[in-house]
Amino acid sequence: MSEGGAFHLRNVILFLGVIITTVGLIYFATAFSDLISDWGRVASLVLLTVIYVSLGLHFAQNVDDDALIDRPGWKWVRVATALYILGLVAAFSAVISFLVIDELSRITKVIVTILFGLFLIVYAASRFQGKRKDERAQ
Amino acid sequence: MASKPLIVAAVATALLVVTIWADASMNRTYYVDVKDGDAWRTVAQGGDVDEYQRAYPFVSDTAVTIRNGTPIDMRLRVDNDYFWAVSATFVVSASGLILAEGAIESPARSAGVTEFSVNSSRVVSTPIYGEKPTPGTGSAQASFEVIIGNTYLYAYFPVEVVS
Repeated sequence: MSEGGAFHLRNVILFLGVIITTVGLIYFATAFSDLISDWGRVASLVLLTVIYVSLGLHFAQNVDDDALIDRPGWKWVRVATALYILGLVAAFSAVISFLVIDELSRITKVIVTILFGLFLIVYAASRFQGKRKDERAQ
Repeated sequence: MASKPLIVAAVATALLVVTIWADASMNRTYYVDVKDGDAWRTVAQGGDVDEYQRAYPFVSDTAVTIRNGTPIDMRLRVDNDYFWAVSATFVVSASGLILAEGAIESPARSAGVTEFSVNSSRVVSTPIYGEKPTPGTGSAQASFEVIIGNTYLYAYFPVEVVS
């Protein structure tokens, strides 16, 4: 691939690996109901969420030029962004898997889901709010 | 030196492998056996293994011998491969009627069994709708279901009714 090309071959291969992993994730979530229990599926999808988001943080911190398409308007398409989006998809799948567990009552599942979502919102909002205050102070 | 997020990702990957391995190695399977003479014959199987969430395939052409009007002796078995004990209640039903109910327990990585009996006239029928089986004549079959929590076991097997 030439230096003036729009695609970075290394990052495209990385993105391809992410896509292949995602297909494997979907296959795991749908075709192993006879081997993996409901709770095991939830735990696996939560761990996959952690893996994707951690890898996204790693690439965001350590890779200077990870844009997949080197064209104006497309610079936001980066490996880190793709991994964050896959983390969101895995988290969404984990919540869905949690909500279909038959052993828990509907009341329990909805309370846990809503409270955990609210906790994430409040924690993330207060954390960023705190960082902006620190930046202003400097 | 690896970055902190990369270390977190590596640890999460290791935990993922352990989780999948542990979950795949744990299964719980229920069996329904019918007393056939002095032996037991498995007629239904189900549980984590969805492959047999239906009537057990009968490997022999020999029907189960049942004496007319007498209860059929059955038992419910469980193979528990989980790392914790299991305890569940079960219900035996046919045509909307509850014929028997009870409880079954099994320690971790072990097996459990509980016996029960049902009225043969409630589960045995002939291919002709509404006709009761006559001892020594024609073919008959027994059908019922055993419900353990969210697990349904369906039994359907040939019987020979003797007087």
